[in-house]
Amino acid sequence: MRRSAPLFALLFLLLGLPLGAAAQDDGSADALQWMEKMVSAVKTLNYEGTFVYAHDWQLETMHVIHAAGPKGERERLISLNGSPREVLRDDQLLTCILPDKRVVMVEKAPPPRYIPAGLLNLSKELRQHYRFKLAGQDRVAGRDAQIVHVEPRDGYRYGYRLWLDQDTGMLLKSDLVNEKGMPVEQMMFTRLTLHETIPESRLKPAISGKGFTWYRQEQPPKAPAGGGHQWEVTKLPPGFHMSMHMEHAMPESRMPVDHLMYTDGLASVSVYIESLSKAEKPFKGVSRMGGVNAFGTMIEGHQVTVVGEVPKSTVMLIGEAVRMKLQKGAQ
Amino acid sequence: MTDKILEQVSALVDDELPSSERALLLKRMEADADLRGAWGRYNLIRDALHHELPEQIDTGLADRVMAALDDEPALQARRSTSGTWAGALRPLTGLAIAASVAGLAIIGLQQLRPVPGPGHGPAPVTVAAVTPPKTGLVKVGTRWETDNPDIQNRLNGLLMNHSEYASSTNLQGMLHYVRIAGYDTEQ
Repeated sequence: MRRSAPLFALLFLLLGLPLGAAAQDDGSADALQWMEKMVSAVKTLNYEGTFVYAHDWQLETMHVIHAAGPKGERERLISLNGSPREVLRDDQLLTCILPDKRVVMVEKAPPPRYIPAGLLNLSKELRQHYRFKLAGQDRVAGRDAQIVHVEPRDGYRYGYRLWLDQDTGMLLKSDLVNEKGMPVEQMMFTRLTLHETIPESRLKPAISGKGFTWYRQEQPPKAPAGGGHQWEVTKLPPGFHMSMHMEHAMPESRMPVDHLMYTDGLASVSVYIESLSKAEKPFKGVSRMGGVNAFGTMIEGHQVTVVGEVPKSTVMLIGEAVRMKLQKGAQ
Repeated sequence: MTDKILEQVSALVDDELPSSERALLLKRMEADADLRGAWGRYNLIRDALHHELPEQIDTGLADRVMAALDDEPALQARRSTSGTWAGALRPLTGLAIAASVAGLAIIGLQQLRPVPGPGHGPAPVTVAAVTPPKTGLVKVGTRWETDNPDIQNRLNGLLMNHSEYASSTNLQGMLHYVRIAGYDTEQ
């Protein structure tokens, strides 16, 4: 199980949280326990369900089939609106089948994630940037649900409202909430069935991808080479720290891309730095899709793109603080 | 106003206009009051054919939504920013909202209609009753807020990569992949 390391890291992190939180006796301990239950349920249960995904005024209907077993997690996600796009993932590969474009994109799963320094101490840090509370009971998809609110303490991160299955902790509904308290993205199961096992056939894509253009990421991601350009972010929003620095080839790009990742423990932001070919138009400014904001700028002749499920101000602050530094011994 | 354009307006009303033609038509409609009028009339015709006509008809909905949006501070701020993003989005915004609320207003009216009695017609539909979404600008389809297909593709690739790395480190697990599956790649 290649993904077991981060899963356990996260479980460990969340298991560690209630101890500290209990001392405050503000209800956050119970809320964190529920979140711990959810993180485990979403990854370890076998389930199949239909849910709606809404952002802005768009509404999508999706179907998900999730299996967990000794071989790790496997998931198949099918769009029920418009073109039947599918996303399949297992411990090895992430595959996106886009019939409308006649394209299949295949990306290698990241290598086992190491536990970043300080992750196990994040509980205190998390509570510095978020408030956790229980917010009553509800019913979703015919199941009794516990509502948990995660409220940011500043404008650099979004909040979450989570509806969790009383029995299993499975996520039944979630709102990603902006700084004004408005949902920017919502997901809700309308039907959910838990299974003992998921038949293999349910995890196979309906479309073979024959005759499609396949984009494959041939090179596995690697740590950046020692010499040459190195990049850093000189200013980060409070609570964010670097969790990873990789260099990889993207499915649709021949140039290696420098990838720095930052997280506050819940939200994550990726910084991509790449050289553009002369034909490519730089991306400058802010773009948004549902809860995800992207910011593009050119620094030292390189395209810098920041992508994350965080407010616009956060991707802009990080993007504008990217600097090139020369390694010792570099030309 | 050529027949071809009117044909496109008719197709837009029936939601049968290819999305490749939609952006240009919405741009034209923004600049052309006659086209907006045609759009309103075609909506009426469609509703009449479907027996969905309310007792009082709001013929100036598109224009009034546009006017209301012009007064919307969030959109004014957006328009005052320089750069391609604001400019590229603006033409779609007002009319997309108008197109959405035209349907909503009529459904709303039908639901709110009181039991018919002498002298008690339904309240006229007013734009004031229509609240533009507060979560941000309306887009046509699930896609990045840019009309450059190359940049859309690049952002899509980056989002796919970000999703793979971010999924195990935060609460949103599955939602990362939902964004990819839900992404509207149709131009």
